[in-house]
Amino acid sequence: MVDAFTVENIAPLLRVENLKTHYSIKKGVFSRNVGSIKAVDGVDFHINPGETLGLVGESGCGKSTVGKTLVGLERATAGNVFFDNKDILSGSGSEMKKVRRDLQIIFQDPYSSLNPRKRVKDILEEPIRVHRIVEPQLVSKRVDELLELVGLPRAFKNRYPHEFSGGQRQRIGIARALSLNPKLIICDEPVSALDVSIQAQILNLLKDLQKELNLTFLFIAHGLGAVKYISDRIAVMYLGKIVEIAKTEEIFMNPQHPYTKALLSAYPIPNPELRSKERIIISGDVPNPSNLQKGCNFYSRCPLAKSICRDEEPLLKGEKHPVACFAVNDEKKWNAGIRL
Amino acid sequence: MASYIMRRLLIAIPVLIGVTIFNFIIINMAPGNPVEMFVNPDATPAQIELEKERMGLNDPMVIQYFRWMNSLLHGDLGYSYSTYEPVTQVLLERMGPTLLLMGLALFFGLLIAIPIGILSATKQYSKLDYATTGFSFLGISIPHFFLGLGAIYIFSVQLQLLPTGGMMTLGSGGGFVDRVEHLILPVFVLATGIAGKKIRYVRASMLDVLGQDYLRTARAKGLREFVVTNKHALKNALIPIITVIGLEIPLLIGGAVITEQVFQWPGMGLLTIQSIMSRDYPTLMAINLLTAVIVLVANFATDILYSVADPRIKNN
Amino acid sequence: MKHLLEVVNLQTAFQSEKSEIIAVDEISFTLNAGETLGIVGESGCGKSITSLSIIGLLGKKGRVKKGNIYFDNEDLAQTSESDFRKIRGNQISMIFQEPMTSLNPVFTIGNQMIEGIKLHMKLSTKEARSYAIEMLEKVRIPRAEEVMKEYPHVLSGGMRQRVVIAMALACKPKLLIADEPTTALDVTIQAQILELMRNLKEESETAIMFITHDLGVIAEMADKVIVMYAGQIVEEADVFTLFKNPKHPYTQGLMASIPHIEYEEEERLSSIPGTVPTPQNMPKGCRFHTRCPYVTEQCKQERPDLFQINDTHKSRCWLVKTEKHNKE
Repeated sequence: MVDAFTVENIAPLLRVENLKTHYSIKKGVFSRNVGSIKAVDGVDFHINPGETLGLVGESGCGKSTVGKTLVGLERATAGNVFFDNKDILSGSGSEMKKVRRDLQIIFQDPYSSLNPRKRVKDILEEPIRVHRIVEPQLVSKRVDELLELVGLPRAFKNRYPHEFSGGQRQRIGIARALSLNPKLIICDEPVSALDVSIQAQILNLLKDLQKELNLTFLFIAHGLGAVKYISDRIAVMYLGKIVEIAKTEEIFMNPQHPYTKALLSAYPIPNPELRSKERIIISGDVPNPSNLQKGCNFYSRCPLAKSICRDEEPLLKGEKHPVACFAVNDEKKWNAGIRL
Repeated sequence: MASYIMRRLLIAIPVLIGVTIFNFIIINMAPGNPVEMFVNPDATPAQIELEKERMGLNDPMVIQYFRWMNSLLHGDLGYSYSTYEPVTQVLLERMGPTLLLMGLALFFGLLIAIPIGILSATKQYSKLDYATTGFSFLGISIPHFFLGLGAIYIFSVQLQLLPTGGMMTLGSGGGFVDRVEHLILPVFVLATGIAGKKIRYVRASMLDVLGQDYLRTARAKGLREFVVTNKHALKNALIPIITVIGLEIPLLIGGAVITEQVFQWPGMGLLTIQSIMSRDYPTLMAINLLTAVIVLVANFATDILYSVADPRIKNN
Repeated sequence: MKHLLEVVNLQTAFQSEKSEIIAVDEISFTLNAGETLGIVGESGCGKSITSLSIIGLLGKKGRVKKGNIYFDNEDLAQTSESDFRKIRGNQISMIFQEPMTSLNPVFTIGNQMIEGIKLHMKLSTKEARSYAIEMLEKVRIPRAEEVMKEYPHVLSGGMRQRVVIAMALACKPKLLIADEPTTALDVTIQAQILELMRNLKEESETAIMFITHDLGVIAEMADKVIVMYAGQIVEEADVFTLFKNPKHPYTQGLMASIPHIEYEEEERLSSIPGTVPTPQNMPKGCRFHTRCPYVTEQCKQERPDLFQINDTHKSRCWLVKTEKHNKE
């Protein structure tokens, strides 16, 4: 963990500027574009070397699409992404190959991303050979190292993915991501599918690896607990936009955006003594992302909404703790905060 | 929806034109020619050549094709080379018997397949399930000509219960009972094949649905297993089966070539064989065009039906 | 007071291809009217099997092998299927985890609502319809009358779960089994559903069995809690005692491994090493001994009972037994 304040002068490892990923909706005889789903709609953030940025939000907010766009699994509609000071959205083929090596991703369900007919050994060896990470005769030694790194016995390398439990599969997924010595790993809901006690194992492993290998993480999740535990800073997303971004303690102790407050307030705290505490429960569902009105995306559910919110889109403003909300300073007292 | 129908129609036109061109080439490439089939065997080569010239068979294929296309666009399918009747009339005469035969076969085939398929799925791995699977394999794998000839041998030749073929007893005028008797064997043969295939689809589709969460919800309401299976599961299971049935519709009109041949059933299948044998180009072209149209229409109808049965489709 | 539900030494088995597998064993607990019992445990611990045993929906391969399930003075383990159908959906109803798949996609909401109401309440279609609308309004579904005519796929996950709840509560059941009812939902929607369930609970005397893996949800909803591990109850206590003073090492491990958002915590989460044993190779002695930090020779050899710590607190651990013994 690196304190975000001490690294402010260091150049960020990843800088995302106004990133947009839209999916078009086609209709009619000639497949005209009749609209688009703005999965990611103008997102700005950066991640410093050795830091973990948490990206939270509910299903459909676009957090996974951000991750997929960064590794090239989705095509960006607009914006710039600088990785190690290189623009990776418009880079050339050979540059991209290097970038792909440095930028890896771990998925929620490692099982569906591991070829069921390949042994663990083959799964891990392939990327090492393709990218010529080590001399051919050292490949198998490298696989042993990787397994050790993620806490699996060496003997497991001759097994197939289905022989493992969910937690062990996630370890294999992590080992594969590590096989290319990446600088940044995008963790897309890596613990959401796991049992509570196993979640803790994987979260600890990720933290240990970060320290040991000086890794940088973009940690995408909907579970606030896990995000808080692992992140240095947190960005909150709602319907394709970041609504608030700040240091972890700031987000939890001093949330500003009404959506962040509602999100924190809705999180069930494992302490029955706190159950009688007042909580904010926002009504309604997330609006359909293909049919958004102008103005603030949170307008329809926001307890603080005023007329400007309906007409204008709030921008992410502020130095240390940027928030995208017109009503932020309206009602200081209105504070869901966390129930301490 | 309207735009969807429009798009389907627009796509159909080039497909149909392609089909006619392709058929025209194939038919004309086949060895032999119609004149040799119907002229007097003693005719001299010069006479044959003259006849070919008169019928326009010596013109380049492209010219012949456009001549045919031109009359088609005027609603004229030409005259049969073998019977000299208008092709339209020939087709209409043959379509009735085929529709009757195939309609009944499909009806009885499904009447057997759907309940047995459901039962087989709900009692998976039971003796009944194994027996059903066995029957279904037999239904699929016994060739129609074999089953047909076997049925004729047993019921017509040995037991003398049913007629060997045709649509009615010649000269009898064709009373209702007589017609039904003529239908039994060919319908039996065709329905067996259809049932064999469909049982497997119904069973698989039902098994798929039987594992779904909403059936547990239905049971948790206290519904009887009969209602759970025949209301909640069946409607879901039938959706994919619609597609499979839709694929059978072209056969209703296209006819069953082999079965009609075995039972000398005067339908489209028999007409097809006869036209090929006599190089009756106009009739063959018309049959092919009709089949293509029906395939397209049937697919289209299936899609529409699908969206009626599955409320989730309408929104997209 | 007589208990509404009393489960005594329940054992449920499933027939696999080769042998019979005991999925849950030695399950005993009671539940009173108006009470909410939380059942918590990780996947495969048998919490869902326990609830399916009670509502009699184990399917063809599962069966209650031993024990009794007394519900309103009737032993459900002995009840015939036709008598059970009169109870199911009527006196005992159930909500399932996946709102996306637990409604039938090809029937309208109205059709699915009315079905159960007509069956158990003997109402005419018209009466059942207006009662169904009333129920939908009760679970705060906007435009209830129009929703009756809609198909499930047009509703969001949260709305579907409300429909499922309305369906389950329609016949005013004495016992509602909720199997992970909010797990598939987003946090803000989960909060809405939990609040709804709390309000509905206050209005009626319905007892709730709330099954979840989320200790946060348990802390919010339950009066008393059962912790399950590898097919057995390992700890039982009222909710306040359980969170303040967990006795079983598994419960302790579970509590320590959740990251907290309400206070700052240490650098590392503690985690339970290893994985849950499968029913095919259940360890000898205590089922948790392979992962337990306090394991002794006794734990490896002898199976502990669910020892009584005090009136409301039980733990299946030799340590408790020894501790108690030492005190005496």
